Amino acid sequence: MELAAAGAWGLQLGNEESGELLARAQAGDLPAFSSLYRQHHRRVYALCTRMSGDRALAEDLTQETFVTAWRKLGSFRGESAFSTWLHRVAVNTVLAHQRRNAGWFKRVVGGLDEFPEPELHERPDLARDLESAIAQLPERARQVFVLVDVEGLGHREAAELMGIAEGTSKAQLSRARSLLREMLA
Amino acid sequence: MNDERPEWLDKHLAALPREINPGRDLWPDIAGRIRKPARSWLPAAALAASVILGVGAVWMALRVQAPAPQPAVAVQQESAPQESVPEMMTASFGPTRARYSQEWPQVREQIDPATAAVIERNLEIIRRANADLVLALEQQPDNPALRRLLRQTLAKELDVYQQAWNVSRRMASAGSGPGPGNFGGSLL
Amino acid sequence: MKKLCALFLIALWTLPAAARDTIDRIIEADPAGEISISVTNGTVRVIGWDEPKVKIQGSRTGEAGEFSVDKSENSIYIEDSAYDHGGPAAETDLTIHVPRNSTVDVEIISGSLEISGIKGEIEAAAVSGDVNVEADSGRISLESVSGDVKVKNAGALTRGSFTSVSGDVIIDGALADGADVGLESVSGNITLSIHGEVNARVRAETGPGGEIKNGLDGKQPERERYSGSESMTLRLGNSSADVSASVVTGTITLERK
Repeated sequence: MELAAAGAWGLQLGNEESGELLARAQAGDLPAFSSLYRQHHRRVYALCTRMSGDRALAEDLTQETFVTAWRKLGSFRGESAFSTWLHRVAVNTVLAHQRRNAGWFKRVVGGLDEFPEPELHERPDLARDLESAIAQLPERARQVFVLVDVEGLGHREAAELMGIAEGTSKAQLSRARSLLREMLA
Repeated sequence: MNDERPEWLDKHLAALPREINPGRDLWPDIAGRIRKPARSWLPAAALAASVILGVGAVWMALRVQAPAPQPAVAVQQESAPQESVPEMMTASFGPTRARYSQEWPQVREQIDPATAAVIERNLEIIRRANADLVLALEQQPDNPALRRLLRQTLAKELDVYQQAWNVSRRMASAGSGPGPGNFGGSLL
Repeated sequence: MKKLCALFLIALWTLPAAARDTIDRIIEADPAGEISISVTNGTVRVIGWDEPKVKIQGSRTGEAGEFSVDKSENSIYIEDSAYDHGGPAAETDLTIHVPRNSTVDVEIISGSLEISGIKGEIEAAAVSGDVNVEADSGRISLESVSGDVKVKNAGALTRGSFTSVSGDVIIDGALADGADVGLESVSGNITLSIHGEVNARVRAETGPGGEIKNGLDGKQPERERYSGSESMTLRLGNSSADVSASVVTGTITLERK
């Protein structure tokens, strides 16, 4: 993961303060967890909104992320920054939702599916800014773009999270960038 | 290492905010689900109050009741969200639904009458399901399963339109008349 | 449904329409490739076998519309768009044998779909038709709008997604560790019969007027007094799998086999 992105995630508060909060949260202290929530939820919501393209859904996904994080808090052993770990939980929450709700393997099976004819609801209109342009990208391209260009993951990591081949990830990124270019012209 | 990012993109990315504010407080629902996995966490009296008097009354009702050992769960912000969740969801599917529904008569012409009738009947089933879900959500706005079902059913409507369009393309390319576009698949 | 990239496809065979066609062909196939089938109206049976071949047999009526088989690398695409200009719908009746380990993706608008003997991933969708699967697969995703979705799976499911809008969802099989399975219907009923060990967190929720019948353990669903909806979360065994079932007005029945 690019240092810049990793740093940005961790920079929100001093290490000591968050370390103590985390220890208390892991011991079952819900108010401590709620402070962690306050510190991180806007970043999580940004990630969920951009990956899912839907703000109402992103609210549910954000809540789902924190509920899952609470349940799994015991298994976090500090192998990375807490924010990085939380970030991973959020990505998995979004992808699990998409799998469940969208005939998942249409998305997962690569090969010829990489460059389909644009579907009716994939025709992008001109967008005001990058944020609204991202929301109009086709799902897979959008998710790869958010993971790689916005969140700074490498292709290998993004591909692994999404369960696709690294080559597919690169192809989708390329597609996303060229669609964005058209929209932001 | 990532591919070289073009400069135009770098500029846009630099301007992209790191954070986005959800616009309403998501914590109460999270806390509710953490404390008690079952969905219905409102005590019955407070629920009755909410049905009759609205959200403000629920907040009052909870404060008046004997507090639980845990801090009282905040029900909802006093300032209710502008739109209900079902309205927000239906709105976010809105433009695409409108576009499909406008294009349907032309697509319908490319499909044989029997199949078109099947599609329309099923679109009607989906719309009725959406209406039922919206009603159910009015009674239980915090039910995540209902919200998921609504979102799925809204997406299903788009899928069915898309399938109909695929059929129309195949039939058109099979040579009966001008189609909505050339289908690249079956090479003659 | 997968979109086809014209540059890479080799058309194996296309049939123009006739009053009634009989189909009987065999082609070579990758033992674990992708088979993609799209039929507008009719009965489609997909049967897994041990040959590295795809055999297509059947008949179709219809004044117009094409039947095509295209192949690219390890993917085979079978499409039928038979139709009539008026009167009763044209019908296609197909029995397709495919290598058992294929990844199978089938789509029909109306009619019925049966898939059996497959070990690979299965994805199938019908608009107005029942989808019936008898398989030994780890990943199955089925949907119908007004038809029923039924599965009898010999293997243990790792990922499952079964949805209908107005039809029933009836699933019978085992769950792998860490499985992720969702069952949904809006106005139909759901029945889940789990074989073997149950290590799952099972969440069942209904909307107003729905009902949950729990045969997995002794727990009773919670009923909301004002709306009459029911909900229940069970933690069985080591809770490693995640199963969720939702209906609005129907019944969710959970049982062990």
